[in-house]
Amino acid sequence: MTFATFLVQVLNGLTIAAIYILLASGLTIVFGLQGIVNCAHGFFYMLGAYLTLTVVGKLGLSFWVALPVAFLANFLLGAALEIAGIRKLTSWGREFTHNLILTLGFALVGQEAVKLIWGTIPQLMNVPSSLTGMATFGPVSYPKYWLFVIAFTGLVMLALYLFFTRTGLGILVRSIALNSEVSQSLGTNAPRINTLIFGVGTGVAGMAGVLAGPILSVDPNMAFELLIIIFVVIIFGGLGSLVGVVVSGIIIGLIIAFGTALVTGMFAKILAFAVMIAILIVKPLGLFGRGAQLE
Amino acid sequence: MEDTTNNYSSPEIDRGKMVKWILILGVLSLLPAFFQATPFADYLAYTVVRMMILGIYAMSYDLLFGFTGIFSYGHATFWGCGAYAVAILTVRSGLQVQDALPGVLAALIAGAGLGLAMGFLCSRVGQVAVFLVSFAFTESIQLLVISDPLKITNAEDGISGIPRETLFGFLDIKSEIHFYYLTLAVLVLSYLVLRRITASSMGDVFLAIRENPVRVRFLGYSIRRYRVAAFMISGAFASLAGALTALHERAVAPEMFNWFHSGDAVLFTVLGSPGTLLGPVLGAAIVVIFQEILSDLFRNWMIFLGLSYILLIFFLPKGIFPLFEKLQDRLRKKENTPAKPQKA
Repeated sequence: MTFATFLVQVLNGLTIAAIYILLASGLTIVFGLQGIVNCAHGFFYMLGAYLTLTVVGKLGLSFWVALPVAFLANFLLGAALEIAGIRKLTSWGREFTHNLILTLGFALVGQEAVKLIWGTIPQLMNVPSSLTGMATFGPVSYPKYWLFVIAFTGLVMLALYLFFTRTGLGILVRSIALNSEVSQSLGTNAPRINTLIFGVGTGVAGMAGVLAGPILSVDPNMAFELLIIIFVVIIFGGLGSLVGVVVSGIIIGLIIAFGTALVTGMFAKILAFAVMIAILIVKPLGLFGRGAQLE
Repeated sequence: MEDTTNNYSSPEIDRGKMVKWILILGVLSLLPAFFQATPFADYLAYTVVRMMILGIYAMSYDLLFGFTGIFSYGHATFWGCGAYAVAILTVRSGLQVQDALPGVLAALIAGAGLGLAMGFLCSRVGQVAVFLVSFAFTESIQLLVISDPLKITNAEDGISGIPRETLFGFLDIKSEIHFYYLTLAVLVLSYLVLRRITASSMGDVFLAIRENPVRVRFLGYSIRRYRVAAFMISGAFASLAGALTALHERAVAPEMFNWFHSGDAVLFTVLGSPGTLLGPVLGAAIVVIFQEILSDLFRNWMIFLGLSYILLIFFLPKGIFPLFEKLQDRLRKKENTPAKPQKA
């Protein structure tokens, strides 16, 4: 392996990592706030990709319209799921398992709905015309679009960082994650903030779907296929930790990229699972887990 | 630990219950005779055998979810593992095993072993993480079976041509009707063993872990060990169901490790009321009936799985058992109202 191909593989790993991070960050923040995992997250990702097919392919609008459309549609659907489902169950004092089963059911129904609306055949998505072609630096040339995906994720993560550290709302969100009861007794409207964050998470998942469409496959199995790897990412990074998601997303992304390049895609996936099992043995809470969730 | 107040450890012999049980078993053992009278005897026997096998599978998950409160989403691992244990031993190992017993024993051991591995991983993390870890664990086992590094699982094609000749060397289980009786016997035996386990002091600790793990820890029990034990027992029984499936279908495929089979276990158990053992068996039977009816009408079984999840969680979170109780109460009230009007 020459240095140039090595660099290309690193970039491949970062591109995959970018998609992982976009999805996993939403999951892990919602876990930090509400103590549940949204199993429908993969469905929102899939919906983003399929909405782009319709917006770009059928309506003939540009990719840059699809991105906000996917965000908005997924935000509204996610918020609706939170208000009509999770908030209700929580207010009835149900166990966390009920919320997991609810989101699983939602994901299954959503997946079948996608099959009914768009069909089961894998679809092709084109790179937006302004981002076709390769960018060349020295010995390495790399698709512009993939670099854009990395940059976009970087921007989203920067925005998240600034949101959580520099804005009043972000600090309120952190206070709920720290201790929901105390925060609410001080006047925070926790249910509304939970809904907002849940919706933003699903919205970002939708955008991840739009971005991943031209890179990964667009077919009805994409939701759960990716969701399982995202689970590996958040377990590896530590549930509820945003830093953990970024670090483990990059590590798993690089493992997948190099494993696929050197051996096979199947081997790469098994290796990612093996790494997850190894971290569970050595450090059960993951790289950056703080252990709040362990009784 | 001496406790006479415990109503789990000493199931009273109740004449009414005995009669009920004898009736149920009598009906189940006479069913094949009824099937013979219909033109599709084999299909009916096949479907009821499937119900009973999935009933064992559901009971094993109930021990984990209903009794110990572990929300695992990887039960298909054990199911597939048991099926592959039988298939590998009889077809791929070159040992020419014709009897069913070695395969079933291998399945029990393999299931318990895999339960040990999964329990070890899952008992180290929080409750939500158990869901994620078991989900990912199942997927990794499926990938291993498909990629087949040891050349024993026959990759994506699975293994077919599993012999089903005898059990213990002399019991003939070739025909569907004979296999029906074998499955019925295994179901009853599994139920009795699982009831014995849940009624023992170990079962009490399982229940206590479900209700309040912190307190159990303060009492000096090792939660981890009990959770691993629950995984192992549950894994062994799910594996037994898998072994029966392999013998029943005479073929196995990597598809058995698919996560939606884990989802089936959750559905059976939630539908049939977690923590009742027999409820999940009933849940499995109901789901199989629906599957048989609906799969002819619709191709997308998954949408019903999803919808039933949502509806159950909203409207019947404790399954169908409370409904029966309500019905019984209402019947009793009707009987009693003329004699003595309700007080308070």
